[in-house]
Amino acid sequence: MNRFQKRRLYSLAALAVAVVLTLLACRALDIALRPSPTYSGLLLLATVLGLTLFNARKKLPFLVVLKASTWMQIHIYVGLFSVVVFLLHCDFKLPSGVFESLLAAVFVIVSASGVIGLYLTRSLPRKMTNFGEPAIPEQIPARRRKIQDEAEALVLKSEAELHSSSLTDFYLNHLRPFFHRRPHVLFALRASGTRMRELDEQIGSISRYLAEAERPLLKQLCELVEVKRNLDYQSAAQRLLRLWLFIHIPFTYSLLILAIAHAALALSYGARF
Amino acid sequence: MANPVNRFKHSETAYNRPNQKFACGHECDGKACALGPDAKGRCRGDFVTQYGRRAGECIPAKGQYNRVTGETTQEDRWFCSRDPALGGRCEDGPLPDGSCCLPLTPCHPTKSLRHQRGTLTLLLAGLTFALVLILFANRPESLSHPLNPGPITSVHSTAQTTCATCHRQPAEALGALSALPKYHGDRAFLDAHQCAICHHEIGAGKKEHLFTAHTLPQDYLAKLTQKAEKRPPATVPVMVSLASRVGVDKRKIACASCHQEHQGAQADLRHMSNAQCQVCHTGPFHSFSQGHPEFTSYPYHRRTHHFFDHETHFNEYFKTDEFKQFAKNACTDCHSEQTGGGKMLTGTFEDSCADCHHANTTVGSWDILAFPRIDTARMADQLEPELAEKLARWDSASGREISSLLRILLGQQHREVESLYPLRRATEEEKQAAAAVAQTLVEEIYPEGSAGTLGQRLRESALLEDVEPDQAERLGTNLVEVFTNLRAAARDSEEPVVSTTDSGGTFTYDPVEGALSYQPSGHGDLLMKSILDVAAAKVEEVPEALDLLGAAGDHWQGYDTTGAGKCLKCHTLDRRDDGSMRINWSHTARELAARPMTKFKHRSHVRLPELVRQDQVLANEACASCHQLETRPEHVQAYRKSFAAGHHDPHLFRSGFQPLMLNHCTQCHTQERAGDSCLQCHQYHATESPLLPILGTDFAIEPIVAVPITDPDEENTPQQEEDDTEVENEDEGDSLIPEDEGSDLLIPENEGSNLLIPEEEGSDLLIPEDEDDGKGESLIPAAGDAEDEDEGESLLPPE
Repeated sequence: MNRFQKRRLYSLAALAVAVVLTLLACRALDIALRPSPTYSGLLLLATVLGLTLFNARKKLPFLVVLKASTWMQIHIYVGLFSVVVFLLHCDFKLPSGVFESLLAAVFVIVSASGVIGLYLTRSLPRKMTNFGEPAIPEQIPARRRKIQDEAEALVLKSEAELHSSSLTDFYLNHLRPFFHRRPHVLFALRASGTRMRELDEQIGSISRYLAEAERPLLKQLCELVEVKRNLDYQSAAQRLLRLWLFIHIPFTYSLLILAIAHAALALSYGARF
Repeated sequence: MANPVNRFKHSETAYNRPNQKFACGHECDGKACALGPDAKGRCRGDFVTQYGRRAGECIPAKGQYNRVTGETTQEDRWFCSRDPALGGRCEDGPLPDGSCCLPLTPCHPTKSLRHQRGTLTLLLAGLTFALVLILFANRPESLSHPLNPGPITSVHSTAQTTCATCHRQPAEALGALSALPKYHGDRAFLDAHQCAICHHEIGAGKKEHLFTAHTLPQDYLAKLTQKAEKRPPATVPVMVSLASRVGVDKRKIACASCHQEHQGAQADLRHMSNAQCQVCHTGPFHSFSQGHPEFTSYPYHRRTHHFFDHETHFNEYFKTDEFKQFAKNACTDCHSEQTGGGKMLTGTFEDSCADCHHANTTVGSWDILAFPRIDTARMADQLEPELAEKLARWDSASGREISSLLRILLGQQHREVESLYPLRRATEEEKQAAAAVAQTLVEEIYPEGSAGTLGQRLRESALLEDVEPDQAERLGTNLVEVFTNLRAAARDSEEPVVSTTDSGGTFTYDPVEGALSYQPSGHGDLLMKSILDVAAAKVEEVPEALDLLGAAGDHWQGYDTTGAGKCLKCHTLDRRDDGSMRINWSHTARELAARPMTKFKHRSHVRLPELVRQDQVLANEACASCHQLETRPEHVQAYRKSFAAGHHDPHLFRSGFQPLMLNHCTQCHTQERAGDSCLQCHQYHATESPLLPILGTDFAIEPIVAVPITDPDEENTPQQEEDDTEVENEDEGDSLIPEDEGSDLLIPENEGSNLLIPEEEGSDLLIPEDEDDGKGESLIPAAGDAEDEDEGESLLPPE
């Protein structure tokens, strides 16, 4: 068991203990005729506020309180804990009020996006190592353009030096859309698609019609296809790793506003302790 | 890897700053310019320097700077300054005017992902905040407002129900959060007062009891707790033990602690778990079948209001030739189900007793107003002129003894009556005392005084809690009218004048003796009951009142059965906790329920298939399965002694029935079978009246009328069962202040844990509880009214 596995094991154990204690506390409060929704609501609000501190920690790099990776671990497990507290707060039932439903929906969106983000950040980087060298996202367009240029240079070279249009025709008909295409963001989740296999088959089928002198060029072209394919995967994965934050972070602020309003409303209307 | 994607070298690769807000518009084509957009997102492709030269791929500089030597040469010449990472110096170099020879194509800079995300965050947060402002701008009024957290129960949801119906909200300009600045802790208690507007019977309308545990007085709860603490500990579920450490303050329990609204129209607001009940109790136990204290004297908690010896009746009287024809063979001959099936009613006197006892319930004529002789001549010196003038008209100088009623009304002065006449040898002090008594008689009691004086004295004497003061006063006023009218009719005659009341009673005025007498009509005579009530109320002050009550003699059981003792031998005379005495005319406790939080529904039990005969008539075995008659002679004697004259403590008694055992109940009441919820037998609130209908609101509520069930097949429909349960539960509302210390409503394991209900012993355990409360609160008018006929609440004499 390596260090990360140990850390995960300890964190999960801590999460399990926290969940059990919270469940027992809520049950005990219910039995004791104390308002468990009030306490679970306050705990949930405090949890959500605490989770947003992770973002503040990233925005204030000079404020060194624990490492960012530690913050991330706390964020993950406290986030999972907040889902349990939310379910307890709702008494495992769907809210029926309009405002409460809206609040619950936003919480679900934030939580679900967080869980999805957790999955992506844990699964995609590992897969990305199988698709060539990881790329810096900001440099990917330039890399893509460079690969395009190199591929077209090879084709022009075959045209000029070998006076053969076979490779050129093949490039124009099949490879050029591939080199100019930006990958779909979901490409990172289904990289081994049929379109890739089709392209490989087409390259394999054209090679038998090429002259001997053209084949080294085709081989270089194949290398560029592989580089482009890897770059596509890196590009899609990098975009996916950032796009989930487009849901998670904006809705987090909405959640904070709605949750504070909800707490104020609950205190105004029949709150008890 | 044939062609590495990343080449990191400061001289060959550009440095990207992802935290910048904007990126070059050509970046997506892989041809981003080196300058990039400025901080405001403007393209710098056509940037003009401060020297008027246009920038391109570089901003040319004049002169050549040598980094090694630090010297600048060729200062009059423009040099290309393009970054090595972008290809280094171009071949052509800058234009003569110092502009770059490789101008950039202007672009529309794009926002970085980070900036896009920030914009989206601000937009969404702004929209959310605006939405909150709109929603919270005004205080919600109707239940359809979006801030309503959910539908309220159908019983609370009426056309007039608004948020303010239940939530106190000050009229301040903070919209939905108007109450927030005035937040002082638990707002639930403020709102709970709104609950009490309608449910004012909770805590008997006393604020100090409104939020206490079980809405009972704290001293009473403390007494029960002390009692419970003496019991041995029992095994307790872990959660209950844990919850007891965070238990709610028993002196401050808001309605919302148990009744959670906004849970839907069909939510059960009264649901409570066993654990919730046990967490407050000092001696919790595992479940009803495991650990619940054994019954001790349950359900025979006190002697019945009426004396009825089942054993003697069934085993002696009903076997004689004289009464055989009237014998009752089945329990149902006298007892019937209350509408709703909650309790078993006892039949009226006419239905159940009159066949045998009609003849011996009549008593002789009573002197109501018989005044003593007053030696006015010898006490003249002690009298004021005005009083002397009144006494001069005193025309009742009869030889008849002063009536017991007047003696009772005189209170402490009654002993002086004997000294009113003659005063021949009286001392001055005795004459003075006699004058004072004479003054009381003439000015406060004698009907020639002001019309209401007798009534006033009656009211002060009776002190009956359940008799309206003006009702007692009207009784006195009516007596005055009768007295006055009959005396006027007999003014010129020496013959007695007779007047018969509508109920059959007869007033007789004797003009010779100036006395008014009354011949009761028989059982249930209202005037007689009223006078006996007055006498009972004055027993402590005037022991001679027992003579009037016929309960001071050495006759049968100590009762003088020639007079009012006929009444008292069946209708018990109880001493209450406050020391006052009262006669129990009703079958059941009208004043205070001994077990205010226990309920039992006979129907649910006696209708069990094994207990009902094929003709759907309740079999004796059904009753006897729980109520076993006590036949052991010593117990029967002890039972009779419990009702003897002079025995006024209703809690010192011996029942005529054997006590119930817990296993009577636990045979069926387990979690798997009939259920073992605490709420099946216990109710939380100790109330004097049913929780419904809603009172104190400005809209009319139709009273709930339980329809008597005639078809047995229809009795068991689910809806009917539900309705019955509703009525039963609401009908069980009992007195707020229990009179019995041992009623253990708080502690389940208390002796006689009153699980099964009947609050009294033997013969009356099948008796309605609130049949004749006379307050119009009953939800079961049919049966209750029938019972009332026997009891006659009115104190008014017949006209």
